[in-house]
Amino acid sequence: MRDAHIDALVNIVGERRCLWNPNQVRAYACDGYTAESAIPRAVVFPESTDEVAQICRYLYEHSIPYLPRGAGTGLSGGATPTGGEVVLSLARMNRLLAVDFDHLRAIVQPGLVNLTLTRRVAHEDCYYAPDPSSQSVCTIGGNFAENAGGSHCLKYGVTTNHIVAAKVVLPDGSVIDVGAPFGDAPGYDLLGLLVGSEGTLGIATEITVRILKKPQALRTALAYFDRVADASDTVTDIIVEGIIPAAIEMMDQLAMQAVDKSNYHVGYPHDIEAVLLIEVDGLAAGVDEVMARVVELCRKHNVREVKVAQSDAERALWWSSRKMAFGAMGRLSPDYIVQDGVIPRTRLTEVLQKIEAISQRHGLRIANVFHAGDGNLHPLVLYDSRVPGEAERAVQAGSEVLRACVDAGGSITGEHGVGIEKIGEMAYMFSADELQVQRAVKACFDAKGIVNAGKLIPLPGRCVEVKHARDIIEDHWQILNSFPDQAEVQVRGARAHGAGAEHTTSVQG
Amino acid sequence: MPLQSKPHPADTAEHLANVIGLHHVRIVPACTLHMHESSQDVCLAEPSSEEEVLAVLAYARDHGLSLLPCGAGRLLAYGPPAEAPDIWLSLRRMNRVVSLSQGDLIVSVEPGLTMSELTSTLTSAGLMLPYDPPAPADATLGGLLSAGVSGPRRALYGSLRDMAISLRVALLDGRVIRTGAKVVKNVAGYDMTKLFIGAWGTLGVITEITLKLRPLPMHRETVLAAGTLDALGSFRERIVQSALQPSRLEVVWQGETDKTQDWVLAVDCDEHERSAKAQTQILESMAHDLGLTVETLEQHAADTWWADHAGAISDRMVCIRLQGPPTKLFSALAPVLDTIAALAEEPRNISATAGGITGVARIAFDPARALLDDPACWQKLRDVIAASALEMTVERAPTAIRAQCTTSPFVPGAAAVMQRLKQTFDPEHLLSPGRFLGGM
Amino acid sequence: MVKDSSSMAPRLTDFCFPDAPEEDKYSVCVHCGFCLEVCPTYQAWGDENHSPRGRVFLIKSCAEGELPLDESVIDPVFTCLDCRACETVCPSGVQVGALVEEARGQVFHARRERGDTNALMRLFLRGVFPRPGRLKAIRRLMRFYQKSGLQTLARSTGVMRVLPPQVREMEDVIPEIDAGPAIDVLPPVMAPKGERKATAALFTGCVMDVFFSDVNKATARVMVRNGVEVQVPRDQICCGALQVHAGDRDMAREMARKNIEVFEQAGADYIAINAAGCGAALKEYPELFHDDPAWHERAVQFSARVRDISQLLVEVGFDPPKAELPMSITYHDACHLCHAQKIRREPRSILTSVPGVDLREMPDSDRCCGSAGIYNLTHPVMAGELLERKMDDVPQGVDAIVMGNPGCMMQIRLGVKKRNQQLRVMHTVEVLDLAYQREETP
Repeated sequence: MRDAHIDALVNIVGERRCLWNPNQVRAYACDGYTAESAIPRAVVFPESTDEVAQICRYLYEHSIPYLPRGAGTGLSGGATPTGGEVVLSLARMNRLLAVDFDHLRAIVQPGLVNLTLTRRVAHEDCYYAPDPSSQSVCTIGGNFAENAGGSHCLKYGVTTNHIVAAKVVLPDGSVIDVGAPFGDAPGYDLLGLLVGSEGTLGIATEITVRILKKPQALRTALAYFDRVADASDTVTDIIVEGIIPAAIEMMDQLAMQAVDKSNYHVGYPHDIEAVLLIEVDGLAAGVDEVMARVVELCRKHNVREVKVAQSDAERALWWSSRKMAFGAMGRLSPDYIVQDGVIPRTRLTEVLQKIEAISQRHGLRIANVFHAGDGNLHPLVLYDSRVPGEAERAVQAGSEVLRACVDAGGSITGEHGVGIEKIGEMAYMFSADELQVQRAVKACFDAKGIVNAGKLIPLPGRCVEVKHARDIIEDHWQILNSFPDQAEVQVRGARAHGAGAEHTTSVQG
Repeated sequence: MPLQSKPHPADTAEHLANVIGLHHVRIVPACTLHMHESSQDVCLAEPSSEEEVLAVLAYARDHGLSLLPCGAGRLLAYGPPAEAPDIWLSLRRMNRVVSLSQGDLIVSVEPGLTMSELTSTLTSAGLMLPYDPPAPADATLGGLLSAGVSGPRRALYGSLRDMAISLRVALLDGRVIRTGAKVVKNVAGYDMTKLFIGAWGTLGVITEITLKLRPLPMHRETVLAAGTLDALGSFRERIVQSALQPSRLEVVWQGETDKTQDWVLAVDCDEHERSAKAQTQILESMAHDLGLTVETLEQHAADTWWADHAGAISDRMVCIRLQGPPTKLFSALAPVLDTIAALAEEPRNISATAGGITGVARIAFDPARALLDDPACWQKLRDVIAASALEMTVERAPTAIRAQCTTSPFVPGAAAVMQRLKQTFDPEHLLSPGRFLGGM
Repeated sequence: MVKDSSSMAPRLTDFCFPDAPEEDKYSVCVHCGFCLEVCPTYQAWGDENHSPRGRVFLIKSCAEGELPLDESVIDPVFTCLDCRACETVCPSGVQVGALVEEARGQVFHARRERGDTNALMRLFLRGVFPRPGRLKAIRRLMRFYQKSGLQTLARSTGVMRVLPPQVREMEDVIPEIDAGPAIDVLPPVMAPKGERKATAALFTGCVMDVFFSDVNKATARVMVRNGVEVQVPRDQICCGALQVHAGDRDMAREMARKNIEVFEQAGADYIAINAAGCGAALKEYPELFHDDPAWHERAVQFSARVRDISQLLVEVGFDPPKAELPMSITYHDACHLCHAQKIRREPRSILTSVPGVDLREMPDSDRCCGSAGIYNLTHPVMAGELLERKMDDVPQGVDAIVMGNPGCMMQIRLGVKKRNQQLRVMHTVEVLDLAYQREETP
């Protein structure tokens, strides 16, 4: 509702760049993670560091919760205003501020789209390396917040390895510079801490990134394996051999079926268990030798067929087929949950067997798509929310998959972030002490605890509480009196029970 | 702070001996810690496990004793000068390789393991940590990590902050936390690992480090092009604008008096043989165009050259680090060297190297007597560097010099956050006294 | 704000008229956001409400009774250009265009109920386009206006200033209107040259035949030249695309029924169309008849026969011209050709088959030019921005910009005129036709 605070925001950004009518802010109720949503108090569209700072200063002073948002393609609910926050949409801060081709640095605003940066520097044969599947839409600011990965981080690293400096607006609205365009900044590595902090510690408004020269040559191979174990042994062998491919991606049969039904039909055989997409790059001289060695290693591990892309079009098709895999699941199943576990890559076969067992136990299909080189798994649990109980089983199966990853010595998330989705699993991965220390770090930046609170790090006892809350919501459809004012938590699982419509539970803090 | 007076070092030693064994606790004069001005005695404790570290921390906390974690002590000469602590916590005995997985390209080590020990373990497994710090080979991983220094290989592989993926850290309050995860990709929770890198041991005691590795390159080849600084600057530009991927790119001074002549641009390539050869060929033809003379070193000859290069920097008493865009760095080198010649004991024994991709330069020399006594000597150097719009840090120097050079380059907001972080982990300021934000 | 328990019960939908957006269509959206960056309105404003994902979300919220059908939904639904670029990138295959059109249908009903309609819009949607006679009258009137010197007079006296600027601009670039529309001038049946490979009924369209009847004539010629018997059913009317875009679905259905009947009688193998917007509308006729199984079936049969002219030529096989046509061109992908009908390859293969033609691709050739039906008249600022971007992307030194849609042709003519460039704006078949003509006159 329009009140003095809205007036204050309008004073900063103007009437046209502030949405506050509840019907107009509804589109900001969730990001790419749709299982939960909540109505923000307002949405503001700042266009400069100064405006962001003014907004933050005002909101912090008045203890009004807020959170930043980029393109809203996050898969863990990091930008969902569960606390009825004011959303700072950085979509309009999308300028490329400067490029220094001589030293391979670019300064961007947070709303600049990842792929747009690459396109804007392509004329000098440069590119920005981190390439999440959503790179055509996701913003560098969002990548900063999530420490986004991608298909090529095996060789080139993730976002944190490519951001060298930033101008950051701290929760109270003060503006600081962190990192150094060259070398190291003195003092604690605040930049390192901020990257991947999911918008809970501050808002980067100018980001200095490294850009790289495009590799001279690329070779891409597609290898069909009868058995998953052979495919995963091949991955390990390639690396033990001393080859670091630019990317090694794997898909299982179910994932192949889905993408073959999409616009990107490759025509995978129906009776193979796994396909590997392997890319090597480097100088033109020598790249063929490396690829030949990769092909040899595939053969050593009983590959059924391995082919090297003969044209850019063929390579592009193979990659599109892989990158569209999540969305293509819509063609196999009305709903799915995507997970993001990481395991030591040598334990791939073993963990895949566990996932298979989980799938059987819950009677749900699980498709596997992953960055095999990094051991980053994206199991997709397929379900139909219209079948009573299936949504709950899918959530349970997803959680079990993550636990299997942690048990194998891995992590609950490799690139999608914790957000609200995996906050319950944080306690499985970290001890109470470890979580408490992370909360203490949060308090060093945000003493009031109002900036994107309730994301990433479970509040004390909160993880139990959240789980409990979900149980209650799912079982009884009751109102739960433990969320802040204005929060509306919608649980999609409701559709499984209710008369087709989503149930809304509103609660008072 | 407890109200009662601190225990005498001998009492501390006696107590700690009961916990970690008589042979691993000693009383030593503080001067062994590069603290020549201090006449104080300190209690040296050498725990061999995390539990023992925790026991020492508990005692220090309970008695309000300050504590300086260190490894081989090599990095005490670096960074903000430490004050004499009550307890010198040496982690040198914690030097095991905890686990090594070839297929996962991951190693976990204890902090007291030295770089050379790690290198030999990794080499025999066909692996490497692509890290060549400007520090003695017996510096420990814990020390290097806490100092956060990096070397020429940063050009391709990044710094230690890009390689360290997980830590175990013993905190002063007796808790042990794990940061990150032992997998190459992980975004669960805050990236706490980064907080401890370059923190000079002011937040906690690192008890285990997990690092990402690379396969040992199949072939190593280094091209050395000699010429004037100007010509090498053009050479640098061509390389950076090409598709070549040097793993190191440093311009090194090998002259005696003229600071614009007698430079060498060293370009290193970690690749398999065919690519390395092709790269060398391209480099040679570029160098030829620019009228430079070229020499190519392979395999061990290349390794030796780089080892000597690191030695030349780390052997001198003073090392100044400059940071900035490489082109600015290159053009500032001659005037900076001329100024430093006036500060050095023997102007011919100056080593200088500047990263053509990293934007980090180091100039190492033995200081003239005057420099130790007179802070004004630095002013001229500061002026020259400020005129080039570069950042300068005295990376390594005798305590007296470093004490004169501490400045506070932090904007208030950042400093406030850092202070709160320090307050959170070490409210009594017991850890690494003097090293937090250069003694702020 | 605790809601009382009564509000817990599922609420009724806010789409209370027939033919509402269907759950099957909006529930496919997984909210991934891949559509954001290709959406011209999102690119311009950065506001989620004006993005494909946002619009689908609002439509869903409205359908589920979470949002009223008020400006918060109506505005975003009408800022959509209906360019379908989002459909091309959507991994789950959401039919955003159909959803938006259905939602507009709801708005149209709601407004009519309130008596709140734009008289001019109503006149055109109901009074002119569905009636071929009136359309032809307007055509004659415009020709008279051009030929009689009235145009020159109007321009010189400044009388035009009373019109809104966007209309004035368009008036400026209306091509010279010739004596007769194709539907009257062409014989009802044209025998193919050589062996008869197929029969096709030509859909002449309304805008195309008013402003670009030459293109229709060229279309007929190239089909005849390539062994296709061409019929021109006299009773056909406007396809109804504008009505669908504006939400007047009842009128659109009426027009669709008429056309389906007319073309059923014609009985040709194909229904050939050279206007991308109409082509897409004809292919989507079944969308209009969800609640009418009998007509739905007839619509499905009908759309199965519809081919864009480029598609038809490639399908039946066309002769590459033998004469040289030295010309440097660039190709603009009309939204309703590339996104709605997925036709990209065919026009290019026709163009590159012409000896001497040098096709230079422009960046983002599939970004909307801003024409989007009557969008350039209803949202001139947005349309103008898009036109500027399109003109910026035209490669230096080309002789012509080629495309397959009359709306785009008008809009790009405007762009050319504004920039005072020496550039021809042509339809794909015109290029082919020109090359064939050269064969005959060596």
